[in-house]
Amino acid sequence: MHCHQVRKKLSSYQDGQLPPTEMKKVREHLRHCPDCAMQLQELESVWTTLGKVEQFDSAPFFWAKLSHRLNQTSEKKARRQRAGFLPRISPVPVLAMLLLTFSLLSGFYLGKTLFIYATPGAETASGKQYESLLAINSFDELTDESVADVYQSIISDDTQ
Amino acid sequence: MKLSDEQLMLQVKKGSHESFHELVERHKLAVLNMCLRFTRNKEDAEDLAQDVFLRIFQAAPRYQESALFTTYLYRVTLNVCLNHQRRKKILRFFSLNGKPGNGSEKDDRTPAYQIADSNKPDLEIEKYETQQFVQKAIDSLPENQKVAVILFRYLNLSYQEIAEILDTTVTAVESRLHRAKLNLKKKLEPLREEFHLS
Repeated sequence: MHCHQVRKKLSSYQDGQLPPTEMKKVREHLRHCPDCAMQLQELESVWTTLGKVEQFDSAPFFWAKLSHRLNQTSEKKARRQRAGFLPRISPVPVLAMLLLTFSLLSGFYLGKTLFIYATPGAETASGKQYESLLAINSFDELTDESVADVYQSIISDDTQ
Repeated sequence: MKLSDEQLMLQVKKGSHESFHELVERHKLAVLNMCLRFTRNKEDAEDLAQDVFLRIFQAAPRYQESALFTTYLYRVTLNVCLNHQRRKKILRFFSLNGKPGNGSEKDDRTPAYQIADSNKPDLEIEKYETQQFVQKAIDSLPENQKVAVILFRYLNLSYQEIAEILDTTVTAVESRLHRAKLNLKKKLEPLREEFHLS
């Protein structure tokens, strides 16, 4: 075997993954070729260095923690099954909807209440006239006064 | 008589917690050490390993004895670890402090308790720095090479087993390991010179 052929197979040779006949051929070559032997030594050095990493030698509480998580998962699953066919609803969008509905209803109520107090309604005579002006019914009999005359009389009442 | 992993898993499929406990005890160190290669700290590795076994347990009703249990277990472990790594990369990218970090302040500090408990603190620091250097070299590999190295070097799997886990060919595994070793040789050269490693 030539050096360039051996070097392609050195990694697999080092890992013991070549077929037996090829392992034998590479071994024979390495006996007589110091360069290829040096290459192999360098690869072995890399592999040895990789062993110098942190490792777990034991994990005595691993099962206890895992068992706890398994129980928690089983409980969640049982709770869901007890809830039957109810869909899993996240609380956040439900709360958001409730808040929105409450705000809208409050807005309507407050708007209506404030509008009643804001309009110059029942308290003054001119208020009553405003109401009557706004409440013109097409089926009512027409008066002799025009709308402008009524308006003038309202203004003159207010300024007095 | 000792049951095989596949037989135990079939018991777990029927709901046996004792069989699952046995499976966990048999394989927890392999899974923990595999996760540690991706997380660089033991707490995160333990969380990931728990996620792996939780997934295995939850998927037990659908388990079919179509492959070795270990092939299935390591495939799940790899998926969990790679997803974790990708999430961390995204978090790092959007990190508010603008500095790339690996999400854990613990990673670059020497565990104080190791130094405090040791008679030779300098040796502990040196050992820790070597570990970190080697781990960084592994982390710098392309993902496919890193995975091949972890499965072969730390789980002692054969090329055939690795090929089954990764759903690829033996030739591809061989090629990835060969390139990984050449890359690691370059990256570990400073360490070998500094500490005169053999």
